[in-house]
Amino acid sequence: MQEIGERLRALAVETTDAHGEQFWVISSARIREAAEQVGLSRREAEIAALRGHVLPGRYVRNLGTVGWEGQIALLQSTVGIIGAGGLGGWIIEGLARMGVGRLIIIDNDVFEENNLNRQAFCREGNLGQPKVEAARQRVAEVNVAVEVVTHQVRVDKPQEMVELLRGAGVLVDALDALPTRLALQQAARELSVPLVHGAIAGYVGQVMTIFPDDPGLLGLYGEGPVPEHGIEVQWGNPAATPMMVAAWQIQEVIKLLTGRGELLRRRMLFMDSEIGAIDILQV
Amino acid sequence: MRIHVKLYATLRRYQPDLPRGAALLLAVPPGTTVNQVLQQLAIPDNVPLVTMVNSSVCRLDCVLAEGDTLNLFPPVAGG
Repeated sequence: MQEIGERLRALAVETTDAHGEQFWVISSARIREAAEQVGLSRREAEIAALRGHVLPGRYVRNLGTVGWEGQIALLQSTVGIIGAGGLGGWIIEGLARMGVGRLIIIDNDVFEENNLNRQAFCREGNLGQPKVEAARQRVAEVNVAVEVVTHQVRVDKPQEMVELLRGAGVLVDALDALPTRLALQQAARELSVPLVHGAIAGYVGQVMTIFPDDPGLLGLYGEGPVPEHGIEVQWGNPAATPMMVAAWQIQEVIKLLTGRGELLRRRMLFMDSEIGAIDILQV
Repeated sequence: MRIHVKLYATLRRYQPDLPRGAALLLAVPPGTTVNQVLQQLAIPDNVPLVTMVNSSVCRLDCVLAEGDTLNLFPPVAGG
């Protein structure tokens, strides 16, 4: 690792940050060459570079927010995203761009025409393609360092989810039905990992980070039976709402993985963009 | 006693004249429950909603106190 660190530094450009600290920036092309030469994956090479205070150029604008240790933590992390539709697509896109090293993506569906209005990876040319496959292709285009594990299956029971999501440090709820969301909270409890919940309907959306001991969705909907769907059935899901809620969810994941900031924990952000209002509700 | 009621999203239709984002100030007798407030606002029983008093989720038989804020919002589950 010492050797690869020195090799990468020799390929990098020296620069100084806003505080006058010296560091090096290396291009994606150079890091790819070096990784191939020494037989490391892109992710391993990026981590080695960061440890030697060599910043992959693609993360320059991350640095002020997550820092060196934060970027290493992101690359070493695994995040499970359950649902690769309206919310999941943007969440996967954002986490890949931030450099989260490994994504486990679960979704059983294929793209349909009514997904074109809002789902990040849905195109006229890929209707009928499994959503997880489109996600894998997109991540490969955006950030080669990110490893993607996909499962094209329907999961309803906590135990099924636990089996597929083992190894993830954070789970993201990008599902579209209440009973499945509650099952996912149970799975997150069994795995002892935090869950970042997001849901949308029309102009409205909500976000909350749920730790294993938190009431979370049970606090909102109780222990009894819940309806399959909410008001999204009447209000639909326009283009902007999933982007807005997914963006909050991405930020929660990044804070969890880097240990920075204050989480929306036991606090639910409830957004009504029709009237331009955001409320924070204790849950 | 007086309580505040905030209606979110689809539930705003039950107080259409209330300025957006504003809380409704309601005078109710002591011992009033959440369910009685819903009846007073003419919100039908079959409307799915989440009820919170002062930022904590509560049941329909929860008894309100002077100055409480009752938040009513719809279940949101799309993704």
